[in-house]
Amino acid sequence: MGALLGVSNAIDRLLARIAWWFGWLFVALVFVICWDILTRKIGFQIPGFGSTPIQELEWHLHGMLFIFWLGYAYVRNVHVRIDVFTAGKTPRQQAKLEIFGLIVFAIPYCAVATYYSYLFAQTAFIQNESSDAPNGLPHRWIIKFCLVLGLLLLDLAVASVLMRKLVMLFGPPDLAARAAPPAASH
Amino acid sequence: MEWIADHLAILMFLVLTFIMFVGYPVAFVLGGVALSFGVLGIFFDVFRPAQFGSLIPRIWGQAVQNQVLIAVPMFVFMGTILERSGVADELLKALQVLTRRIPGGLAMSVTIMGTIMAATTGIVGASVIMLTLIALPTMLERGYSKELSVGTIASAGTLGILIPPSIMLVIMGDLMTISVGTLFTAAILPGVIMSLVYLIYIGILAAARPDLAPPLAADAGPQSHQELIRLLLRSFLPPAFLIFVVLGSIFGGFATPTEAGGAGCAGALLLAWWNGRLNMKMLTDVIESSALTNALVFFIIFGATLFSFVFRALGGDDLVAELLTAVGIDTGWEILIFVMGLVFIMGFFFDWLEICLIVLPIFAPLLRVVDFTPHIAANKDFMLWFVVLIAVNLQSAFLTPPFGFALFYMKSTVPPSVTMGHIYRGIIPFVVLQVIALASCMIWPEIILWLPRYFGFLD
Amino acid sequence: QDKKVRVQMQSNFASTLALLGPNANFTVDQIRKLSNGSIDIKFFEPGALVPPGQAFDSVASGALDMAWATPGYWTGKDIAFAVFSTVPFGPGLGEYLAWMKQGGGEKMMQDLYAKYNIHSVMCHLIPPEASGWFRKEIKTLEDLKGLKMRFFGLGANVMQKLGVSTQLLQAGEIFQALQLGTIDATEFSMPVMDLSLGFHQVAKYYYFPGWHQQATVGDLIINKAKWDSFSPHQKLVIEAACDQTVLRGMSLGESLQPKALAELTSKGVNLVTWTPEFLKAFEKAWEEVAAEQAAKSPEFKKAWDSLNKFRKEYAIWKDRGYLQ
Ligand code: NA
Ligand code: NA
Repeated sequence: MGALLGVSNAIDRLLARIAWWFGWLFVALVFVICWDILTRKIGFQIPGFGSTPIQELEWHLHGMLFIFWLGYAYVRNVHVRIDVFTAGKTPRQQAKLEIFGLIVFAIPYCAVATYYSYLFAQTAFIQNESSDAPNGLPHRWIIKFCLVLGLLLLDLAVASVLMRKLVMLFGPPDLAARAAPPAASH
Repeated sequence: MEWIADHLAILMFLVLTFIMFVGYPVAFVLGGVALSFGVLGIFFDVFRPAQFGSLIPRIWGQAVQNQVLIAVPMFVFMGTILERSGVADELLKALQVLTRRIPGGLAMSVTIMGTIMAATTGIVGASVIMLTLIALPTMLERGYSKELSVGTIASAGTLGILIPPSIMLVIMGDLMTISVGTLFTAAILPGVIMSLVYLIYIGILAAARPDLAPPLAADAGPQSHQELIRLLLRSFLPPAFLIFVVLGSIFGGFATPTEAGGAGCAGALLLAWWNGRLNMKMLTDVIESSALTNALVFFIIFGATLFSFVFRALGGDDLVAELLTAVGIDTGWEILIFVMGLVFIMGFFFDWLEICLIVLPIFAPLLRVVDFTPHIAANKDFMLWFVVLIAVNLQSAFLTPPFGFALFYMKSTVPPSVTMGHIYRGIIPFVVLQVIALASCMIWPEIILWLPRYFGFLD
Repeated sequence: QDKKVRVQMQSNFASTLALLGPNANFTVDQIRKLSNGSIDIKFFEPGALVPPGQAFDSVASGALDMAWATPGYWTGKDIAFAVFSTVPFGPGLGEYLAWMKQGGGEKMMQDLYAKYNIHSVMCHLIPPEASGWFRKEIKTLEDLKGLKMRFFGLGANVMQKLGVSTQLLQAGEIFQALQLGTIDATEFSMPVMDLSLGFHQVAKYYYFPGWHQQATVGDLIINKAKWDSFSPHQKLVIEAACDQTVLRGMSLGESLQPKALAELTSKGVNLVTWTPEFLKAFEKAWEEVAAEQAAKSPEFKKAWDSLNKFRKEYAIWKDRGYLQ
C-alpha cells in the first residue's frame, strides 16, 4: 500500500513537471500570433517561413498546450463532473464511485484512445505525412505523436488516481489519510 | 432482439441520462457509455470494431487541427490575466458605481460586456469562461444572488454564438450553402434583441427583489466630479485600451477574430505590467489556472465526439427522421414547430455541432418545399430564416442541463461555494427568455430578414 | 444474386453545395439503383462521421467505408495526388479525361492509392474555377507584391514567387477577413458556387481564367478490403455510377456557370480577365514550382512526366483539331 501511494505521488509530480513546461506555450502562442499579425501588416516575411507555416505552427502549439495538460487536470480533479447528487456523499463513498468510474469509463476509454492514437501517429510517420498545403510545415508525425504522449500521460493519471483511491479504501488509516486528495485548489 | 438492435441509439441516451449523475468526469462518462454501446452494436452486428478508429481522426479535426478554436486558450488566458491583475475587478466596481441608480446595474454591465465580447469571438467557451473569471467574483462579493450571477454570465457569454462572428453560423452556412455574410447580418438583430431582453429582465427582477441584486448605497463611490473623473481614468482606460486592441485589430483589418484573441493577450500582459502586477509568480499562477481550464474544455470534446459518433453510426439520425413520420405531421408550420421543439430537446444532450449535422440535412429538404408566403415576404428567403431560427434556438443548448457546454465551462471556473445546483437553477429564467425570443423571431420574421434586406443581400 | 452489403459513404462536400453536393448524392443514388439495392449505401454530410480532412486515413484504416472527395485533398500524404486532381496550367476537361481514362492517368492514381490500402475510382470532373475574388483591381505585376491572399494548393507556391503573401484561413473565416481587409483577395471556386457563398457582397473584382485549376477530378475512395469484398457485378456498378457522375459533372458544370456569371454581373461584380503578361508570369513561376516538386517527390515526377508526355503528343491534335 505504501508503495502504491509512492508510485501515485511520483506520477503526480512527473505530470506536474511536464505540464509546467508546456504551460509556457501560452506565451509562445501569443508571441507567434502577434508576430504573424504584425509582419503581415508591414509586409515582412522570413523567406520560406511566411504566414502559411506560421498559421500552422499556431495550431501545433495550441494542440500541445491542451494535450499535455489532460492527465494533470485529472489528478488535479478539475475535469467537469455533474455532482448534484453525489457531492454530499462521504469521502469513502465517493472513492468507491470513483473506482467504479475508473473501471467502467476511464480505463476502457483510455485504452481505446491510446491504441488508435498510436496507429494514427505511426501512419503519419511511415507515410512521412506533411501539411496538405505544399508550403506548410513538414513532419506531421511530430504533433501526432504528441497526442499519443498526451494520452499516455492521461493513462498514467488514471493509474495514479486508481492507486490513490485503492489506498484510501483499503490501506491502513495513516496511509489512507495521506491518500485522501488535497482539496481541489483550482 | 431486433428492436434492441434498431434502437440502441435511443437506449444509449437513456443510459447516459442516468449515469451522468454518478459524479464521474463527464468526458469519461460520455466516452465510456459510447464504447459500451459500440461493443453492444458489434454484438448485434450493427457496428464494426474498426469504426472505433474514427475516434482519433475526430479528436484531431475537431480539437487539435482547428485554427478557429485557438480562440479558446487565448480568451481563457486573457481572462485569467485580467482577473489576477485586478483590472477586471476595478472595471466592474466602477461600472457599479456609475450604474448605481439603475436596479441590477452590475448584472446589466455584465450583459453589456458579454454583448461587446460577442462581437470579438464566435466561440462560446471563450466568452463564458472569460466572463466568469472577470465578473463572477465581483458579483458575489457585492451580494448578488448566486443564481442571478450565474444566469447573467452564462446567458451573456452564450450571445457570442449568435452575434457575429460566430463559428456556428459559419458551419451552418457551410452545410446549407448560405452566404456567411448574409447569415451574419441576419443574426445581428436577434442577438441584440436577446441582449435587450436580458437587460429588461434583470432590471425588473432587481427592482422587484433588491435582495437578489443589492444596490449600492446612494452615497457609495465618488462624491465629486473630480473623484469621478479619477475613477474613470483609473478603471476605465485600461479595459478600454484592451477592447480597442481586440475590436480594433478585427475591424481595422489587421487580424481575424481568432488572431485578435492573441493580440488581446499581449494587451492584457501589457496592462498587468502597467499595473505593476506582472511577475514570475503571477505569470506561473495564470498559466497554471488557464491551462487547467483549457484542458478541461478540450477534454469534453474527447468524450462528446465519441458519443455522437456512436449515436450516428448506430443509426441515430434515422431514428430522428422516423420520429417525424411517427408523429404524422406534414404542413409547413407543423414541421417547423416540430423541428424547433426537437432541436430544443436535443439541446439537452448534444452540442450545437452535432445537432446541426443531424437536423439540418434531415429537415431542410422537407421544409424547402413548403410555402411560407405570405408569412415571409419571399419564400426564397425561407432557408435563411429557418437557419437563423435554429441558431437562436441552439443558444439554449449551451444552457440546458444536463449537458450544456456553457454550464460545464462555468462549473470549472466558479468558486467552490457555487454548485451545479445553483447553476441549473440560475439558467432557467434565461432559457425561458430565449424561448420567448425564439417565438418572437418565428412570429415576426422581419427581426431576422429586415437587416439583410436593408443591405440588399436578399434580392 | 449479390449479397446485400451496408456501406457508409461520407461526402467531403455538403449536399447543398452547388454541383458538388447534388453530384455526390447522385453517385450514391445510382449505386443503390443500379445494384438493385444490393449495395445499401448511406450518404453522410461532411464531418458527420469524420472531419473532411481525415477521410483519407479513416478510409485507409477501414473506420470509414467510402468517401467522395478529390485526390487534391491528400497532398499531405503525397504531393503527387495533385496531378490526379488539378495542377496549375493543367489540361481542360477533354484533354484531362483523355489522359485519365486512356493515357494511364487513372491507373497511375489507383496504384498510388493502393500503397495506402485504398481503391479509388474517378468519379467527377468539373470545369475551370475562377482565378479569385479581389478587393481592388490588379493593374500591374507590381500590385501583387505584398498582397494578402487566401490561397490553397500548388497555386499558392506560384503566387508566393510573385510576392503574394498566402494565407491559410479556414473556409469560415474567409468572408469576414475579405470584408474587413484582413486579406485582399481569395481564391475559391467556380461562379455557381461562389455566387451562393456570397463573396460578391465584399469583393467586386472577379478574375479569370482560373489558371490554377482548369479542370478538377473528383474520386470515390473505398477501403481496399471493402472493395475486394464486392462481387464483380457490384464493382461494375460502382464504376458505372461513377462514369455517369463524371458525365453529369461535365455537362451540368458547363451548363450552370453562364447564369451564375450573369447574375454576378447584375450585382455589380466586375469580371476581369488576366492579360497575357500576367498569365505568362504565372506560368513561368509555375514551371519553377513544378520543377522543385519533381525534384522533391519521385511520385510527383512520375505522374507529372506522364501527364506532360501525353500533353506533348496531344498538342499536334489540339492545335489543329480545335478552333483556337
Ligand atoms: Na460572436
Ligand atoms: Na444542453
